[in-house]
Amino acid sequence: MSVALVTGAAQGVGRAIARRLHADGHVVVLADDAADANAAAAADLGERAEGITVDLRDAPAAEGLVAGVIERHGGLDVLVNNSAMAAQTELWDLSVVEWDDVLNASLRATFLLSRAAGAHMRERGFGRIVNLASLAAQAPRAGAAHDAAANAGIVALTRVFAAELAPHGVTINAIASGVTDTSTARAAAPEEIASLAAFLISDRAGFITGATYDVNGGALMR
Amino acid sequence: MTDTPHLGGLSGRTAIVTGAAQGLGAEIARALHADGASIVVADLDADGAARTAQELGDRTVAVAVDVRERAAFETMLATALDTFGALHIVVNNAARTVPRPFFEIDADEWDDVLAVNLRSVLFGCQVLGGHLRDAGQGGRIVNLGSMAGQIGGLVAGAHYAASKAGIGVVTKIAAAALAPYGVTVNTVAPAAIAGPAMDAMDPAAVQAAVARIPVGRAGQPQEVAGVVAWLCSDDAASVTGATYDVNGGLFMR
Repeated sequence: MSVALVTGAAQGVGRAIARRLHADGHVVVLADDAADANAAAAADLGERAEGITVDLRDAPAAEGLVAGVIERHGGLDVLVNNSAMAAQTELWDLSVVEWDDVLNASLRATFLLSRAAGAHMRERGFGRIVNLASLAAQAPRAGAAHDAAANAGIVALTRVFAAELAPHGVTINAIASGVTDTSTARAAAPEEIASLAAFLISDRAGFITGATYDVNGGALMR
Repeated sequence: MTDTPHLGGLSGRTAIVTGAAQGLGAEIARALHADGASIVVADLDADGAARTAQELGDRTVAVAVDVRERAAFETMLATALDTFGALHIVVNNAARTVPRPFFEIDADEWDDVLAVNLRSVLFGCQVLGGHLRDAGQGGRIVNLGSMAGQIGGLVAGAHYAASKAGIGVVTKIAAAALAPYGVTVNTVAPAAIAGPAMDAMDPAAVQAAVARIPVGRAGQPQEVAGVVAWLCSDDAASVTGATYDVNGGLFMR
């Protein structure tokens, strides 16, 4: 049975992806640092679901998460990197501590988890990784510099890992979602993003890698 | 690995697919049909269109049209409305793939490739998009672009690449015009897909091209059709003006 790890799974898009993959028949491991909410999200899914409390800013914990999933479930087929931190602080007020926190929770965690999972998937000759990014990566606005930099980094990592792993049956793609404040664009429901993630990890998506699929209601057409 | 096509997700919908007699167009028609849609199978090749429609079975109608002419889209619309009572989805796929060296492209061939590949998309978005706008029930338009339109062709000529680049921008303008009406317009940009165009190539050239594809193989038409089908689903309501690449990692953007 296929095993999927979803980070930032306690709420929102991560939770919707966990729910969708579970409904599609995967064993789903939900990881989040919000212990109670994550346990509730896992319990809500019932069988074939496991909730793990982990702070992905902690590098050894992030790498240990992948090793633990492989050990307990016999392998890892799908990784969905969705962990992030709310990051609204204005550029001029941004502390080094907050910069590091945001970059570590999203970009570094994506790197560490993708590398750990990617090495395992490369050996097995199959795997799917989906990275959740945002419009901030492509159309940065004044304000949250750390958020924009982290998301742009995730898109770049997506391509590097895709190039590394393409010959080994492992695909890695990004979903860049979001709308701008001034736009009349429609924001995607978490279930819609989950549907795209489910497509990208399906057998039908084996020829798609290193791509960034935009879900932004037309806010940025590129 | 679980696969989750939206079987039945398009039931009650009607789709027009141009260039559906063979290759990618036929696969797109097949994918949308499998998801439950009724299909207007449109092609210049009347026999080929009839063959695809017959293969798919019920919920299909074949129509012979020349997409270089605006009237073709009026015909397709009338066929959809007369046969199935409504139109919800348009896939502008018809194209000429011509592998012509740059210095050998003459004006007639340039004009014809642009007319088949690009002018058809303008008409499709105007005539059929205009109908979807006025019908008030939303809708989906998917235009087939190509990696050739992003970075130049691996094998196809400058006219083909220019037409595909044009499709990218027509998609965005049509998307903006139709967004207030719940009609999404997107491009799917494939590269290195097995099919008639690749079959016509010199085998050694095919082998050399495949060797450059990061995933180590050519794509299958079904793999493009899957993305098109997802973009036609209800779940894709927030995706418009976008370009979804299906290129085996040849161009990551």
